[in-house]
Amino acid sequence: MVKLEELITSHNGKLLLSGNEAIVRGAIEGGIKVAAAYPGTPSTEIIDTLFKISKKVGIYAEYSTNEKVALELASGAAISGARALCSMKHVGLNVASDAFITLAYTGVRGGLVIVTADDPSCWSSQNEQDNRYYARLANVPMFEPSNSQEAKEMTISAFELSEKLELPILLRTTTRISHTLGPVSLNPIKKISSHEEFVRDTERFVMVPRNALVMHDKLLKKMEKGLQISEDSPYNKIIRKESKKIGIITSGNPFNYAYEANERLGLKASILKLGMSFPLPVQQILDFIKDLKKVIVVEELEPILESEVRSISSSLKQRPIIYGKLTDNFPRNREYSTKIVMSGLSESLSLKSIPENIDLTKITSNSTPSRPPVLCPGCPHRASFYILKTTLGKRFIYCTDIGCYALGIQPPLQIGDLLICMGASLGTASGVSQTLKEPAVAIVGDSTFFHASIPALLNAVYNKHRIVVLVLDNLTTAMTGFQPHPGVELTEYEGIPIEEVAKGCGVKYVKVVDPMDIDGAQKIIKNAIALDGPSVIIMRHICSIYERRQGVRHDPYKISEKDCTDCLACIKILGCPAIHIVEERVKINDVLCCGCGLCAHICPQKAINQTE
Amino acid sequence: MDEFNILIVGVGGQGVLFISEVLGEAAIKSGLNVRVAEIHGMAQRGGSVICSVRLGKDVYSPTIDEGRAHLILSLEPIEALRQLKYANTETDFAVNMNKIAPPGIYVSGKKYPKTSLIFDRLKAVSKNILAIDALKLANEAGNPATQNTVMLGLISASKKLPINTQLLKKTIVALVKKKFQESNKIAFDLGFKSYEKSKKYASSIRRYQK
Ligand SMILES: Cc1ncc(C[n+]2csc(CCOP(=O)(O)OP(=O)(O)O)c2C)c(N)n1
Repeated sequence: MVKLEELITSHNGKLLLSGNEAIVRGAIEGGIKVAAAYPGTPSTEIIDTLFKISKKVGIYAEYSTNEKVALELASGAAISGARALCSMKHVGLNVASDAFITLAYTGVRGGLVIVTADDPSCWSSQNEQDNRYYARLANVPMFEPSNSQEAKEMTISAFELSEKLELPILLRTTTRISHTLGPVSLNPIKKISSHEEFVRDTERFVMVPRNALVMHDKLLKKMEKGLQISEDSPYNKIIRKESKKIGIITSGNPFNYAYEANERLGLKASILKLGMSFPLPVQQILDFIKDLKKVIVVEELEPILESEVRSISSSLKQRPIIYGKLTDNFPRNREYSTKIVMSGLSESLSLKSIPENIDLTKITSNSTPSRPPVLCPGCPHRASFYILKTTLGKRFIYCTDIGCYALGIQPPLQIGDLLICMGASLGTASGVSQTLKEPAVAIVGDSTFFHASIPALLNAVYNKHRIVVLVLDNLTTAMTGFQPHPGVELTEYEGIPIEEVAKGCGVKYVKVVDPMDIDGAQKIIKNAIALDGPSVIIMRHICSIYERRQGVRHDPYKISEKDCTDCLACIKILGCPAIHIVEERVKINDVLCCGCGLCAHICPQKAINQTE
Repeated sequence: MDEFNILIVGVGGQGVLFISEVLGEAAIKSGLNVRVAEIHGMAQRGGSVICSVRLGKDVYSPTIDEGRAHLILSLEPIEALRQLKYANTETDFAVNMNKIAPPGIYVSGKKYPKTSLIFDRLKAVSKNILAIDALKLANEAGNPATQNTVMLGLISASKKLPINTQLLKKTIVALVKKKFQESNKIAFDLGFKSYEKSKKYASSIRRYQK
């Protein structure tokens, strides 16, 4: 929540910054020229902030249609000599990976920093993959900050290293780094001169097999240099403590837990903290472990460091015992805490287990009602799901997608049978339809439509798949905080209507309907499901929260106490958070109600009306 | 270890993030080291939200360990209950009594737990509880959205927070839009003055009777 003004103009002092804001500040101090990204938690605030400040700071920033395009744009900029940054959530790098891996061959000229924000514990994600593997897969250097201060410094260092090695650099955060605020010391913002020019060099930049093989050799050479830099990097350092027998190796956020656990257990173990975590400083690791008896590797998710430390240690005559996940002392899933690390350390070192503070089992036997995230009051997706439920019911399979509408699986609407990744609804629905020999429904958001759905739509047209594609068009990228996308018309952007795209892809049956027009939408869906080929129905209604943010208010609805029979139909059918029970009567909370009127439409007693 | 751990819990949309960022800003201004851990995204859609603020020179971990919260500030009664595992017998609770029933409980036909039951469980862990109707006071301040500021005023009065009251109030004012500054000042003071009353309120809640 730092004031943007301070973030871009202060030359000294300290600010409280999230890891993401610190990366932005680092990018500014580091002379960024171009930023491109597709939003995704926990990375989103990086591009949101860069986009907001772009004019003032004099950089180019854009929301690209997806991560692959964003990375390609940033690569083009960096190869042309500009310092560029491209941020994404962990799964975004899967989308961008085709460009990413070969980009390591061509390399760059201006510094290119690729931020990958991982999400252990799936706070806002469909998986908890460990993107440290990507550094190994592409063979490019990786930095892993442990706090906001380091996030800022490493962003600058990553630009410098990128230009030194002429390679893109991965900066890996996790949710707890991106979204944790801590003090950050500022340095003056200097003008960093750059020379923007595309210097033609076919052998380097045109990756036909012959050139690619040569560039692969060169990449290996560059990474030999990278190894030397890692050996000498100030980010790879030992925090010395008294113990001569026990050592801890860690990186990124787990360092924080390891540090506190070491203190609280009184282990006095020295800690090797790897800030530049790829290529691993092999010699430094050997020097660190060679006289130790026990080495514990503390890392979240996959046993990557642990495996590598094991293999590095094999060259020692006297090897320490190495503990981690492969010895079953630490979990291989979910984010860590100091407690988890303490228990892993205790187990590895056969210490007594830590006593529980209080016994909660007696106190909380009666479980507290859960509070999962739900569709907001007035959310147009609720109307769309209601329409689906009342027209198709459970007769067909619903292949859904990534966005707020994934919340449709919650009771009472419960729409959604298959959900994998962004854009997968169309392709999976095609496969289901083809196999079951019946139509299948694909549910996809507007931003997701542009992100990864168009090739699948073309495929459905070409191969005549019987899919009904329901585009839930709320005119924004709602889940990640209301970013624009190509379908959205703004003063500076001309929108590209989804219906035109669908027609251009060859879809014959394309309709646009407001999901608040229940009867109209029901008819269209019934028509579409009877067709032989694909259809696209665009359910267009602005996101209620986005609309409120723009200052538009609708009068709330009210339940007539006289007419309401407390049949609970509104609650049981729609599950709107604005409808609740107060002293045994059904009421609408007029602060939460957005005035969508869906409840009034379905009320069997017609007891709900709009107030004035 | 030199640490002061504050857990802030509530429901998406209640302003949990605001409280934690105010505390973080005020901490920096007091020259304290601080970590504020937030969760954005999916969880905020009307779901349970949990943030933590850790103050102190030896603080590294972004999150608070189970059993180690010094203060749990809850913007909603059952949200305090949900996070009991972070408390110990010395933990201070500050609970906003404004109940928000999870929409799901009506769908499933369940009921929101009785106040007496909630407080029996809190009291079984710690006796240091403040209970306050922050919505009422926020309305008095002329802005129902200032419930979080009422809560900040309240915990500031407990004197345990290692942050100066005036500084805290100033930080809030600096962080809100101009047109909300006045209501936030009033809300803070109303919360601050309710300290004794909130203590009594919490202890006056009777045991659950079947
Ligand atoms: C590859 C990938 N990139 C980004 C995300 C993060 N993400 C989750 S939902 C979403 C936005 C979806 O927007 P839209 O399809 O318009 O649906 P809405 O939330 O507006 O209903 C994004 C960007 C992701 N899960 N996967």
